[in-house]
Amino acid sequence: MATMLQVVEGAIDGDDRRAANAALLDDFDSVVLRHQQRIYRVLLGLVSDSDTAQTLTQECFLKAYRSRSNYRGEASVSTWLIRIAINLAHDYHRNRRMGFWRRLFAGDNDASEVVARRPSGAATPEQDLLAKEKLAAVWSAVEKLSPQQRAVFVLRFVEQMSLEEIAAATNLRPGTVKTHLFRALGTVRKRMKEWQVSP
Amino acid sequence: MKEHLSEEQLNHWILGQAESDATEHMEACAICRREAQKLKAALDGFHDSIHGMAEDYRLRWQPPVQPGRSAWSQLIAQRWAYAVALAAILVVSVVLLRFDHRRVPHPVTATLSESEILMQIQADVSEDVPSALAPGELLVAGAEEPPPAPVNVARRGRKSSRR
Repeated sequence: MATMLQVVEGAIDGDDRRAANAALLDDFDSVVLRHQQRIYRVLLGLVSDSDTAQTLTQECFLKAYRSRSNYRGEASVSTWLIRIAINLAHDYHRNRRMGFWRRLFAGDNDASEVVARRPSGAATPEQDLLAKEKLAAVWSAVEKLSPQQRAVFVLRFVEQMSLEEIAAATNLRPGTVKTHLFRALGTVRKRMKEWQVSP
Repeated sequence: MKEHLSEEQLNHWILGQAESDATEHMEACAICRREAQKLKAALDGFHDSIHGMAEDYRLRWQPPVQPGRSAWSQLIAQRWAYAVALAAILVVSVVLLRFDHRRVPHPVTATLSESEILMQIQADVSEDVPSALAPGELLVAGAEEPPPAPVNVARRGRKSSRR
């Protein structure tokens, strides 16, 4: 029987790995404790709103708990949860009703809370303001990305995942992941240049 | 010096997949290095802002009592627990009562035939008779002897009425 450590370190393969991955879900409290912060980070990057990210994080674990019997253990628990989170974020963006309210009230203001609450660590108020404006420009660029580009971008630059891991979590081929990532980087760099010209 | 790095080469460098000539160029060219570092700093800021918010979330987070279970379903589950406990108590008490009842010694009754039972009843009846049933006993006893002379109650009554 494989230990949790072996599963986490990827030291076992095949059926053993699948069985061990599936067994990890037996202790669901531990799964929540272990992965909730990561899922929250992914969702915050995808929806740009802390309250929505919090709600969707809970929904993600609820959905995972209800469909845990369908989990085959082929992907790691973390990858499986991220996949659920990405689908929830896509549903959130697709939802017309939510989209209406989002367009009506939010716009670019979604990320402003994140930016405002972020301590920049700048020495002077001017530097602090500059750092926050720069961060707001990045958030603004990220919000303009397509859902797939955004998911790939967040998984790479927030979760530091490899291209293969991102491919597994998004059901895309590594080549497609790379293309999305390059386009996302291009958009962000373009936005940063615009901000430098007219901050 | 060669031309500056292309956008694709810069992306590769950001992703840590730059080829050796691009890395060499980056070390030599201050303009490309500054360009890449600006973008990297922006990405790091994005990374840190999300991680900072996640840390706040971790501190705020209260663990749910149990995932996937509402307060109502928990109440129902508690009710079931109470019902099961009550049923268990009932079963145990019934078993104990039956066990206690079995411990009371019963008179040993031998299986008797019908005629033997009748004989026993007759013997019991003939043993002791309460005083109130004494005339009955006399009657039973008298069945074997000649009956005493009957008293003429009607004649006596006539005499007394004439007085």
